[in-house]
Amino acid sequence: MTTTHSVDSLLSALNPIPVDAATTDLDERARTDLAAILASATAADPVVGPRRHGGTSGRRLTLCAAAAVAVALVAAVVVPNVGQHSGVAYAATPRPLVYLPVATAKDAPTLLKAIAGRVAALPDDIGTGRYAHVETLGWYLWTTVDGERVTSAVVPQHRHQWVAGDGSGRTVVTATPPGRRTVREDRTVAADASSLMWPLRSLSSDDATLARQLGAGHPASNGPAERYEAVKDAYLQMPIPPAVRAAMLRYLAATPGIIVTGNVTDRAGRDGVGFSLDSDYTGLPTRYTLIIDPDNGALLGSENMLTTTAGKLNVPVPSVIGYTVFLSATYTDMAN
Amino acid sequence: MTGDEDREQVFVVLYERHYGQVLAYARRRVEEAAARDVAAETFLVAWRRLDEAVARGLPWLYRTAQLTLANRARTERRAARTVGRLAALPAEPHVADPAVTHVDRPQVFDALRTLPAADRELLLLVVWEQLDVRTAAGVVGCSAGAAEVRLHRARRRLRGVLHQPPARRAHPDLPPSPEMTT
Repeated sequence: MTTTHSVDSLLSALNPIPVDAATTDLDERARTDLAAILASATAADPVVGPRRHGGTSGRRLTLCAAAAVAVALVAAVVVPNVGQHSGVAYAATPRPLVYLPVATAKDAPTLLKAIAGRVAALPDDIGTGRYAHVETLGWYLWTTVDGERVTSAVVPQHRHQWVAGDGSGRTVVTATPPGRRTVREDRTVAADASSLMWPLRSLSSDDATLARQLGAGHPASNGPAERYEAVKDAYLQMPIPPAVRAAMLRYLAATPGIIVTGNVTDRAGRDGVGFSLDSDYTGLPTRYTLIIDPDNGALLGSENMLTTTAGKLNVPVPSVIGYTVFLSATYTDMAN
Repeated sequence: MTGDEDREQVFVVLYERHYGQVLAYARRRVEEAAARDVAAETFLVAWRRLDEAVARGLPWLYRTAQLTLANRARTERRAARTVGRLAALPAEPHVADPAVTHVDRPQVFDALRTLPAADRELLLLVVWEQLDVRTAAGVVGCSAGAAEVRLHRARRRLRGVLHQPPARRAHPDLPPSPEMTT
């Protein structure tokens, strides 16, 4: 037996996935991945290779951490798929919100600045304490659960996050799939186990300083929607005091292409005003909407909705593909 | 039909044709859940660089999957798990082969780990993915001639391990055989 033959035949026999056993048909995961890819950005944005923006690493880490929570939640959140069409899984989506015209026909920058003017001098309403507590309700079309994507039911995740200045804290995520018990994940992390995008209470009410702070991890070169992401990330991390909320509204007012979508009752039953941005930089034409409380300037929620085409997703158009409802945010001494 | 629809159709054909092969490539190197993610990330790159992916086909996909794996190992500190996958391969081979019964399988994977990464990858591409040498060389990024030399060296090293008496192989304090150091 030659060296080549003996070594190769031995390794071949130990091949964990023999060539003839490699799957040739696309299974459910493969099809949902295909749909997700087709819905993603088409621009040359190297996933493999050097990052374009060094400043995004903190944000990516945070997003990864959030994704890890979503994955960890799983186990029991797998919902059976109800059907397929043309080889692509159906995806259940939440009802779109209804926006009504705003009585005062102001453009978005003007309206945002007007709200900011009312909010800036409000008394502090974010409490005191060791932990930044943020409570959200979220649903995302691409939520991954136990290696599978939940595509047949809208299963929002209720999330409580307590984070101290040293990165320690606790995250509790619950979800209740239809007909199943509530799934709960409770995770406590030690100091320095998670990276904060910004130190707690560090965001400035000065416009130029805030723009620099928010832009550090959310570079303007990524497009106007990056401003939306920056504001959402800030609200996801910590309570925002009124003066900083006002500065954030002025920051949003400078977003190219921002429009007033209208008055809306959000998914928690609260009144707000929607400010939207249409962009296709993630692949499909998508409307990004932030819902702002006109009385206190707080971010109530964010909605992402496909507008003109769903690509291969087999979801109706328009279709909500993700939302976050910001339920509460205060500082507290107890992580519970 | 619009250009976008053309582009989607081209990608879907590429995906349907090669998804299984790319997934198998990943599953041979990392655990199942990670392999699924690697396959998805590989085709996401292909979608964004469709012209390049279509022009260069499966070897390009393997190369992209390889880079994706390397990135994951680096950025997510999964190197140990990735390497560990080799040690965690099935206890029983899928194919009955008399040669297998005469060696310790963990020893084979230990030996594989002693190879330079590029040499190991070349050997596995040829044996597990059944690529010809020229194509495997393209995936790894070397010339066909260099690939031949590396393959010869890798096989000789492995043979050196496999032909050692079991007692000597099992002794952790013994130095490697002369062949292992070439």
